[in-house]
Amino acid sequence: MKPERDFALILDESLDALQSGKSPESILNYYPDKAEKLAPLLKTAAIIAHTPNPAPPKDAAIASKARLMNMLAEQKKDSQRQKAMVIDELGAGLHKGHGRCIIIFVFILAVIFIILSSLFVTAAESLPGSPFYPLKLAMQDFRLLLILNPIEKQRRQDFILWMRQQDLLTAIEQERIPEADAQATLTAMPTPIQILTPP
Amino acid sequence: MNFEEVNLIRRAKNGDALAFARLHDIYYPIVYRFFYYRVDDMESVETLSSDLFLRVTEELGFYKLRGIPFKDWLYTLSMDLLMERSLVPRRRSQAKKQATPTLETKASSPMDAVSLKHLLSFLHQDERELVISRLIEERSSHIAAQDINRSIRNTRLRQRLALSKLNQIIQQEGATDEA
Repeated sequence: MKPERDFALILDESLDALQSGKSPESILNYYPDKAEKLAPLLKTAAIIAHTPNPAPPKDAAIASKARLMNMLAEQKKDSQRQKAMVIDELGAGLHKGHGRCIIIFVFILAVIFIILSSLFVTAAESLPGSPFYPLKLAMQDFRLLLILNPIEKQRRQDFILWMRQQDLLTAIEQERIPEADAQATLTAMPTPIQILTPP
Repeated sequence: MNFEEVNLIRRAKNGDALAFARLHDIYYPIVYRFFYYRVDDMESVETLSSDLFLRVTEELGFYKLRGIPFKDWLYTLSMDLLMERSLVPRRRSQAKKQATPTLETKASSPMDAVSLKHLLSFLHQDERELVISRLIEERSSHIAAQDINRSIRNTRLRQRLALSKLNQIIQQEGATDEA
């Protein structure tokens, strides 16, 4: 470390000590070899640090506070006005013919969306014998229609067949349909590549 | 920052006018002092101090209680305001042209705020900022270094230089008074 930098660091530490309330004399005791050089600077620093703060004029402080309070009151009024405007506009929207139509349309769409999604979720979990099972079959057939690649289509078809056989077996196990009917359906089904095994 | 102040800030953040009024009472002298030593025109000092609290009402929502101390946050806002109004402190050459009071101080005697303000006007802008930040506002040298955008080493060297200059001026004024 260069001597000047060394001294600058010592001075910085001394100023920290001065900030924490130590007297210049006690600080100089920490650095006896630098005391001669440090003393005048510390004295100057102490004079500056102990200078009383400028007293703000009372009128200025009162005026500033009054201005602040006015500003806050204005802000409060503004926010209340804005809230009232939003509520008014919402209310007006409901009473206008055009606004009412949009709200009803959005509401109907939301209801349809909720009904359809719950229907599809229920159908996806259904088994033969359930009123939702035809919907599940229709969904599977529709997905199959969307596949254009013939190889992929064949694989998907096999997978669907395997799934339907699994559904039938589960339905027999749970006694949801008569076993004879299920066996007849299984026999009538087109033969996939490997029956009763996953593709 | 004590518990009462934290509570006040929290209430002020929720729009409590009384909490704002109390914060104004506590911090107005500190903000006033900030501008007092940095701006020459006293009317501007009062306007800026008042404007700062209006700025606080707009910005307090962004202040995080677990972040920097409230006082330091106010200093940052104050410095921004000063920059916006282009009222950065004058340099020595300009300050000297003013009709200035004589330094009513000797090497060991106490000084008043007016004399100190005049004394500081002899320093270069960065040096003046450093002395105000370190000795009057009692901030750390690291924060002071950030404020003047210098390295900590450079800041310490400037600090030493500024104090040497001030010491010299005080000694000269003292000698002139005695003569």
